[in-house]
Parts: sequence; structure tokens; C-alpha cells
Amino acid sequence: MSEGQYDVVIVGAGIAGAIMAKELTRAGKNVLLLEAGVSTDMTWEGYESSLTTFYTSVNKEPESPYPNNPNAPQPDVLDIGQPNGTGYFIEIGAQPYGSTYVRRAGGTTLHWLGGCPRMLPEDFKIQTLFSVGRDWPITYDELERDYALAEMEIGVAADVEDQEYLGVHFPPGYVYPMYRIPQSYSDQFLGSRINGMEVDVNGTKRQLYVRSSPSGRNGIPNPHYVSPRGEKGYTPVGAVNPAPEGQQYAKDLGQRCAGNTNCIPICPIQAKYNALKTLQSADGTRLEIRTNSVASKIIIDPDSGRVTAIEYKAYDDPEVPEYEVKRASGTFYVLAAHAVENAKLLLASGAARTSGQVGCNLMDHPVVIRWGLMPQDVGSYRGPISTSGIEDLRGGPFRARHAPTRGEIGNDGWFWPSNGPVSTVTEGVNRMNLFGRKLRDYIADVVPRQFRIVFLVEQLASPTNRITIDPKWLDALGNYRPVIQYNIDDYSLAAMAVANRVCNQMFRRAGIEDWTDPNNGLHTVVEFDGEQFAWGGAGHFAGTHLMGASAHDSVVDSFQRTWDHDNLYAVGSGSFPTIATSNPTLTLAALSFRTARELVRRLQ
Amino acid sequence: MSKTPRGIHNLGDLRDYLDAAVQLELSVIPPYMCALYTIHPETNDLCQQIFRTVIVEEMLHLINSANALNAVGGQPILTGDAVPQYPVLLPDGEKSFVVHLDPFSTAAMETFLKIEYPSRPHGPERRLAALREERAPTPLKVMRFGHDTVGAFYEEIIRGIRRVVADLGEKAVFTGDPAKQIDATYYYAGGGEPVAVYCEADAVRAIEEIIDQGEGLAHNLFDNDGDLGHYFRFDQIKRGRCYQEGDRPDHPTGAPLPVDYERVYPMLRDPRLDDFKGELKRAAEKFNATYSILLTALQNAFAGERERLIGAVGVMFDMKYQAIELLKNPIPGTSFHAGPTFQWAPAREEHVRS
Repeated sequence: MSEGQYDVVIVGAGIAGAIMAKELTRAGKNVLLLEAGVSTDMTWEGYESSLTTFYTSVNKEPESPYPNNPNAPQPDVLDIGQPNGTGYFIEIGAQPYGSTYVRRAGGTTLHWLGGCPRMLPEDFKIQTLFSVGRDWPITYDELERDYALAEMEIGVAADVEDQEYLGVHFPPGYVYPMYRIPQSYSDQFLGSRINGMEVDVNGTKRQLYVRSSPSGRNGIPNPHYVSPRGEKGYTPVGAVNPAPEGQQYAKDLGQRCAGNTNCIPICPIQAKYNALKTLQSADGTRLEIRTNSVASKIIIDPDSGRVTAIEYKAYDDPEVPEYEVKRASGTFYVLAAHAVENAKLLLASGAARTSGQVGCNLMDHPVVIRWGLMPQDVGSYRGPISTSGIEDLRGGPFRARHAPTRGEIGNDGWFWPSNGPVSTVTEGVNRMNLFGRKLRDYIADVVPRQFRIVFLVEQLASPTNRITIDPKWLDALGNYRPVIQYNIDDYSLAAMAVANRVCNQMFRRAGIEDWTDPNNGLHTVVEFDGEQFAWGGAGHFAGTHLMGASAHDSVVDSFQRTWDHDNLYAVGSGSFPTIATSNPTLTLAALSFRTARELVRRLQ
Repeated sequence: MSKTPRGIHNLGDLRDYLDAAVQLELSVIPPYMCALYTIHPETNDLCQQIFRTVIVEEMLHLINSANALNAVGGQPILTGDAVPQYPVLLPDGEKSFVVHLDPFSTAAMETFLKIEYPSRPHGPERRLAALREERAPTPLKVMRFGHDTVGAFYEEIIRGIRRVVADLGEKAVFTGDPAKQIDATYYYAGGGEPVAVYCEADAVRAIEEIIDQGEGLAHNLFDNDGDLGHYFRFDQIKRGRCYQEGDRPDHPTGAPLPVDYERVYPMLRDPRLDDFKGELKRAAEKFNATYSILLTALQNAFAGERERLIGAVGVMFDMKYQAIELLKNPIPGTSFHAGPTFQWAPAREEHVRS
């Protein structure tokens, strides 16, 4: 295929780009996929090498298996709150932005948790219902079938009975592709203590339940599954391997979730979905993938406003800043490079300027983190990182006053809040002066009781939370680094205070000894409404090119087409006008199906 | 060389054959595991991948055989005397070679090729220098049937199913409890799903799947799913080159397949508990206890407690780590390393996972 013959040029080989590539090629369209990072994880051997990188790295943080590539740099949790120039982000706001993402083929699904809750119907119209935030230009019901397609593509394990709450509904007879992943013993213990516990949230009374979380991890296929396209049954997708037919042994090696407690940063047995599983099932005869190719500019015809090419910098070696500038042309262009990277690229190109909103409205799920010791051994550090949540505070009339919140219950002990169980050993040795038998007894007593819960809080779109670019801050290839201005407003802080109080109540009820130490240096500490608490980021970026009903106050329309450029789409969670309380991946995957279908229609 | 195959003439014969099939599949997994786990970490990547995929397919074959045996009113036994003690002769009746627990080596590969495609002429075996006298092969619980190849053995089972059904009628043959059948709910991966067996057609399909994946006939390079048969997967390692579509047997023309027999833990051939002392012995006992827990779980799963297969996954992880712990350690005063002995050891309390 020579330049210019592509129907669609896609920037970014994460989940949004992979779904677009699969849907378009399977509909007979020719696609070029540009990926800024490396292709390491696209083969079985490469994936295994990332696993080795993780095993041999001292810090076990989300980026450990995926080392920074100076030619396509990425944020790293170890850089959060460090002086500008240390890491990728340039922070100029009141608070550090506490989240990270991966720049290589597969994107951040390489280290995602796998959480797949749908948004609530009310999340799509919070301005109408609660006079806060923005409405989506589409409703839950309009997106419902695309949610089901996304659940098929990711291979979501859940039982519908658990997921029908706060207005979430499914077509009659719908089942998820796989049965729910069993709840951990720790979840079951907590549930036995707190299920039905009543809380009062500013006049809204709710009973709390420990509820199974839908997850993108291979479980037991549901024999009653019928896809939205009418295909019966579901076959779990194994490990990635693009080897020729007959040598694709890796597909037999992806297993069902075995509870390695390592979803983040890397599932050692590829039971967890990643976008490369989707990418390898695209029609390879119609798909060209160019990795090590960083999109640097969108070329726009000033007269028609149409995009004529994507300019990109192709490099060989991540460590060597030598590159060649190239151009790729097609009929349509899709930016699927991540909320931050999409915004950077639009800003660097002077594109989609009418609303003035490009880069604005950056959101995350700030999380309140609490930890403690269970009254008995609950088998901490076993099972997938999270198998249950508390969903009962995700919606309700209180949203007029403060944000809703979703509880995520961990099976990973104190790893997130305090780097347990390693810190348990240092605590025993350094602070308690234990050694020998006493140290072993202490560890054996404490580690299996370690418990943590986080509450993810909605953050509203605000134009002053934003990504900008500045020629002072460039990366090795001369591309812009994101300059971030970020703060958390009272609407979210009030919800964090509520979540903190709910945790106090829950800890008392369950007999959990509180060990939360907001001042342990790993988190940002705030005081609000009489509560002091620690918060961090959730890795849930959203809102940098949000969708809306008009070109004057939004960047893209409900099909994620930029209002200003008829053949340019910006897809992903950057399009969310509200982030609500669900993990964003499932919703952005659903939107990708919607956009792919629209592009196929426009290409007929 | 072999005596005339006994053949299947009645329901009792069919159960005996399927019993032997279960034991045959159980017998080949430990040798393949030894080859896989003796490979140094992060070396021989493609070889590791080949062993992994073959092992999970053998597990699938084990389940298919057990499903067929359960369906015809038999009872799969995987514990006690049924546990193969190495070296063994395969229970289908092949007497021309002995199956050992060996480290990844040319000798091991020659044996594996015989297991997967036994009608090939046998090459000379290169052996590790023996620490002690070669052990005599241990006879297995089941009688041997005098077939020359695994393929012939399984083909007789298919003929036997048809013969017995023709004699007695399908209903009289398939009397097993349907609640004992293992389907995809309880096991998948490994090149497909198990075949749950409720009737003649299912039983034939379950056995054909075993043959198809390269256990027996091996007349095609690629099976019906487009996967390379086991014999040819192993032949790639022997020849250091991958097969590709259109290749003739013995003449792979695909990409080179790097093999490094030096990056291997030099495990003692057919280790047994009495080869070890002290810490090594305790580690070997621990492995055997875990292996026995796994076999008990499998046997119980086949006896109707199907959900035990799900929990068995965690036990397999334990086995892997405990095997590697043994393999990393030299046996004092020798040039060999320890290894898993795969001996039956009814669980002792302190070894059971809490």
C-alpha cells in the first residue's frame, strides 16, 4: 500500500485505536496505525521480556515492566510531586496530577486493573438532574449496545444480577461473556460484617453492600452468552502472539485468572485483557502498523479545514534521538493516543480551536486511601488486585452538593498505601526492633490481615484544570511535553470527606483496626470539613477534548468527530464530558465502537 | 517384537483400555515438565513455549480420556499405585523404549519424539553419565496391550467403542453419571476445550481430538485446527528450525529455532527421594506432597467434585516453584542437581496449603 491509499489513519495502538483498527479492517477498510512507542509486547517473547523486566526491577510500580522511552516519554508514579524536569509532566498547578499511562503498543491496558463497570444512566445528564457539570450529548440507552460490544471485546467476567443497581439496566436475558470472578475471602469477610450497613449521605440514606466487580479477566465462559451481533457462546482470548498459523502456541497459553495479585502492572499469565488481543484479531491484510512513529503534527488545509496528513517522527532506537520526519495520509484521521497526547497533538497543530476547550477540563478520580488490620486472617495478597467494590454511593440526589464516590476494595494488602508487605518487614526491624522468630511471628500475624480500600471520587470538568504546551519544555525528539495545571475543588473534596467518614463507620463495624497514616509521604494530604485524609490519583485521565452538543463549548460531537475538522476524530476518555465514578476503559471502548461504526458508514 | 494386541471385545476391555489411556496421559506429563523446568529462566524461549503448549494439551487429553472412562461407567484413578514411578514403560504396550525423567537434552528429545511418533526408527540414545545404576522400568498398574504406537492404541479404542456399542446398544454402554463430565466450565486453554462425553459420537470425538493433536497418527504436520502436531513441535527443537506451511516431515524450512542444551540444570536422571538427604529431601517431600494433593484433587474432580479443578490451578503454581527450588540446587558431592521425583505421598498436615 502506498501513501494516501488508507481509508483511515489512526494515531495510537491502545484500546481505542485497536478497537477502531479491528472494526474498520473487518469492515473491509484499509487502516494505517501509527504508534509512538515500541512494539515489545506484541509477541509472546516480548511480553515475557516485560515480565522479566518487572521481576528484576527494584521498585514494583505500574511502570516497572515498561521502561521509559525518551523518544516517546511517559509519566512515572515515582516522578509525581517531584520538581519539574524530573519526570515527563511539567506541573504548574496547586496539586500534582497523580496518574500515569503507558506509551507503547497496547497502551495503558498493559497495566490496567481490568475494572469494567458501566456508567450509571444518571451520569450522562448531571447538569439536567443536579445542575452541576455537563450533560453528555448521548444517553445511557443510546450507548447500551456499544457497552455490550465493549464487554464482548474485552471479555468481561460478571453476573448481571450483581450489576443492576442505581438504574443500570441490560436488555432482557443479557448475560456477560463470562461468569463473575469469585470474590476473595477478604471481600466475603468484609461483606459478612458490613452488608446492609446504613449510611446517611446528606439526607440520602443508603445501605452498603460488598458487590462483585465486573472485570476484564478470563473466567468461566457463560454458555448462555449471545453477543449483540447474535453470535452464540464466548471463547476466552489467550495470550498474544502474531506468529504464523501453526506456530501460534501462545494463544493456548493465556489462562483464566489465577489470582496472581499482579493485574497492575502486568498479568503474568495474560488472563487479563490487553489491547494487543484486540489488535491481533484485526484483519491483518488491511492493517499496517508502524511503531516507533510519534505523531507530531496534524496537517490541515486552511481553506477547507480538512486534515490532509499526519506528520510523524520515525526513530529506530528509543535511546537515540535520531529521527526522520514522515507524513501519512488517508481519508479519515483518528487520534487515539490518550487524553493527554491527543490534547498535546491538537494544541501543537493549532487544531479544533473554536471552543477554546482543547486541553481543558482534565479530570481524574482522586482517591481517598484508607488502610487497616482485619480482626482475623483474611488471606491478603491473594486473588486479583480487586474483586469487589461498594457501588451504593455512586449516584443520588446528593450530587447537587458534592461528588458521588465508588469504593474499590483491594486484595493487595497494604501495597498501594504503604508498599506492603516490604514495608511490614522494615517496620518490624527498624521501628519495633524485632528479629528472628519474633520478627517472623509479627509478619505472619500482620501480613494476612492487611486491608485497604479506596474511594474514587468524581471530579467535574473545569476549564482551569488543563494541559498546555510550552516551547520551553520539549522531549528528546523535540515534541512537546505536557504542562499540567491541576487542582481539586470543593465539590470533590466534600465527597472525599464523606468517603472518609463512611470508612470510619465501616472500619468500626467490621472491627478493622485503623492504620491509615495520611502523613506517610506517599500521598497528598488535605483537610476538609473537619476530616484529614490522604489522596492519590487513579490513573483515570479524562476530559481534554470533551464532547458536547455544540461547537462553541465542546471539542468533539457525539461521534467524537472534531467540530472544526470534518475528517478528524479524537477518541478516548478525553471525550468524556463527565468522568462520573466508573473506571473509564469500558466506556471509552464503547465509544470506540460507536465511532468505528460511524466511520464505516461514512466510508460507504 | 510385540505380542498381538489384545483388542477390545467387551465393555470390560473398553474400560481397561480407557483406564490405560488415563495413565498413559498421566505418565508423559512429568517428563515434559522436567524438560521445561530444567531450562534456565529466560533461555530457550521457544522451546519453553513448545513444552508449555504440549503439556497443557496433554492435560486436555487426560481429561478427555477420563471423561470417556467415566461415561462408560469406569472410574479414573490417579492416586496411590496408579502414580507412575520413573523410569516407566508406556501402558499402551510399547516396549522398545523407556520413559525417564531427564533434564532438557538431546536424549530427552529423542524419547519425546518416540512418545509422540513411536513408529519412527529409533536413533542411538546419548545418556548422561549415570550417578548410580540405571533403575529398572517400573511396571504400571494397568496391563500392557501390545500396541506398537500410541496412535494404534487410540485407534483400537475408537474401534472398540463402535464394536461394544454395536453389541450392547448405546444406552447400555454410556451408563456413567453425566455430572462427572468435565466441560469448558471447569477447564480450558491447552489448544481447546475438553469434550464432555454422553454418547458414542462424543466418545469418538474425545479420542479423535487426542489423535488429532499429534499424540498418535502424526501423518499430517498440522492438525485440523491448523496447529502443529506434538511430534513436529518437538522435531523443530531437534532440528533447530521451525516448520512452515507446505513443509514435508523431517524437512522444516522456516525460521531458525535457537536451542541451547548448556543452559539447563543438570538434573539427576529419574531422581527418587532416597537420592537426597537433609534439606533437599525435605524439599523433594514437599514437592511430592503438593503433587499428590494435585492428583487427589484431579481424581476427586473426575469423581464428581468438578469445582476442584478450579482450585487445582493454585496447586500447579506451587508445584512449579517447588520443582524449580529443587532443580536450582546441586546434590552435594556430585555434578548433578536435584529434581522433582513425582512420587506418591499422601498429604502430611504441614505440607498442605493453609
